[in-house]
Amino acid sequence: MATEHLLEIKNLWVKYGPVEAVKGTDFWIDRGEIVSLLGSNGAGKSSTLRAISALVKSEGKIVFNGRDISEYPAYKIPFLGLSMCPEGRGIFSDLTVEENLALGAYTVRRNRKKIRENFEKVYSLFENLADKKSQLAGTLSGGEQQMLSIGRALMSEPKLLMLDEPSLGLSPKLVDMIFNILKEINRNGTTIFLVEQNAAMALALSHRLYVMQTGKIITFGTPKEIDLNTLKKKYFGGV
Amino acid sequence: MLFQQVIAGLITGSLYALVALGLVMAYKVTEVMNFAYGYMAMISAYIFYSLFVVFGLNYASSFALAVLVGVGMGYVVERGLLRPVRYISPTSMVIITLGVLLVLQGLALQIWGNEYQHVPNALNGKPLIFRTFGGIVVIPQQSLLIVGIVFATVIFLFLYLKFTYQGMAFRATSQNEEAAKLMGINTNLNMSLSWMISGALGAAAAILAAPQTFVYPDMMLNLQIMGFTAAVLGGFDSIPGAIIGGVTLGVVDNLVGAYLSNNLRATFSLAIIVAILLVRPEGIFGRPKSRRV
Repeated sequence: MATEHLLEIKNLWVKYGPVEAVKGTDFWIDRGEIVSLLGSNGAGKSSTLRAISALVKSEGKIVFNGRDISEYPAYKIPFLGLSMCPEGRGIFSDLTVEENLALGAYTVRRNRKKIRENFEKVYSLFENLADKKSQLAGTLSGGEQQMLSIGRALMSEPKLLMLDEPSLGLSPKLVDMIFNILKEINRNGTTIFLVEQNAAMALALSHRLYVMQTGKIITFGTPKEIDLNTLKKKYFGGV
Repeated sequence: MLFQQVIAGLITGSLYALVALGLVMAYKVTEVMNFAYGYMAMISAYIFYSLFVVFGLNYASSFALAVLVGVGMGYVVERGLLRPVRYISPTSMVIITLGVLLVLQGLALQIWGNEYQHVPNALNGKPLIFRTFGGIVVIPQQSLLIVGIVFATVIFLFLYLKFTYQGMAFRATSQNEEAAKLMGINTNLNMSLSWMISGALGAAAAILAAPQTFVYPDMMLNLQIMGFTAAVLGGFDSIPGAIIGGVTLGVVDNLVGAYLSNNLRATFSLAIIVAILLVRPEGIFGRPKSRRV
């Protein structure tokens, strides 16, 4: 049991009508890792993440922490210790910062002590949020909304934190800050699965990377094994 | 005279607010305009009439059972008819509610006929009479009951939505269903719940209105139009908006009836809808919806 992967994906398919977004993908994530899934627009990265969270229908096998969750409805998955920060942050704009964070702890809502502790942890990680507890989330800046999205996902103490394009629309300084915080979250024991287009940042942060193109994993390895320039030329059109 | 009309308007308006609140509760979470709302409520009023008048059950038990029927109808319509097409065709959901309206109207005609059935007031005691600067104000006990029930309902809903985890989950579902699922919230359950609460509010409104409107298949038609107007006035996704919209409309409606013409009351309400939709489509308290382009 100790050697089994935290997340294992086998022959995953996601289809939107006649369009095949993910075509028989296999990969795994081990405990304590930071793993990135890279690829250009339309490669199938977000669909993969959404399939794992059961936000879209998929075929194939998804095993999380030794349990087959392929048939689980989306709302049951966070109870197993799998949290996701969706693309576009998915914050509740008309709710306050504190209410957003409280909802992040929905799976542990009966444990008041744990919720209090997690509030403190999140506020120490994101000091900006601590000053804006009563502010409506929709009035926060883009960077603060991203912090809120990550903080909210941490409120349930997940085993695996999945993030969909956390750097999207943020200034380089804020991206640096967010990625440093992700490192700290990982040091504290949370496994991280990151979907990114910012290849340089993902290479700098990750223990391992998968590269996806037109719905398939085409290469994977450690940052040392994957050369950034080759990656850009081959898979990102030389950007 | 004016003060009496304002008080009467507040009482009528509280009933409009209750109807509007029910429409908004269902719309907020499922984004479906329920055209069958008044007819679902009418069935509850008939159940109440049958239990209280025909079978002689006491008022409270009859009220509770009829409201439970409203809750059940809300659940059946959402779970059985709307959810299967929810992600396929939003337009179909509106058409389904129109279908439900016709079915319930026909059902009521078949079971109870089209005669007006009288339901007595719950409270028939001495009215509250007080003298004020504009003259004498008379408030019947039944009106006090209506205001009391509406007030208690609003307070309960406010506390539930604002201070409980379930209420917060309910608000989260109404704002971003997908993100709510990622929090572990059973959004389908919340959708059913919103229609169940809506059914209960409609049922309560119909039962409270029944002594004045009588019970017949189209008894809720006017109230539904007024509730709809109140919701548009306040903002269709705003709970405080529905309440304030209802009360405001009630006062305006009474003043138009008293000082202009009774025949102009409905016309005036429709004119308000058109005017608001032209000037502020999202209503007074509603928020404009932004869409990614």
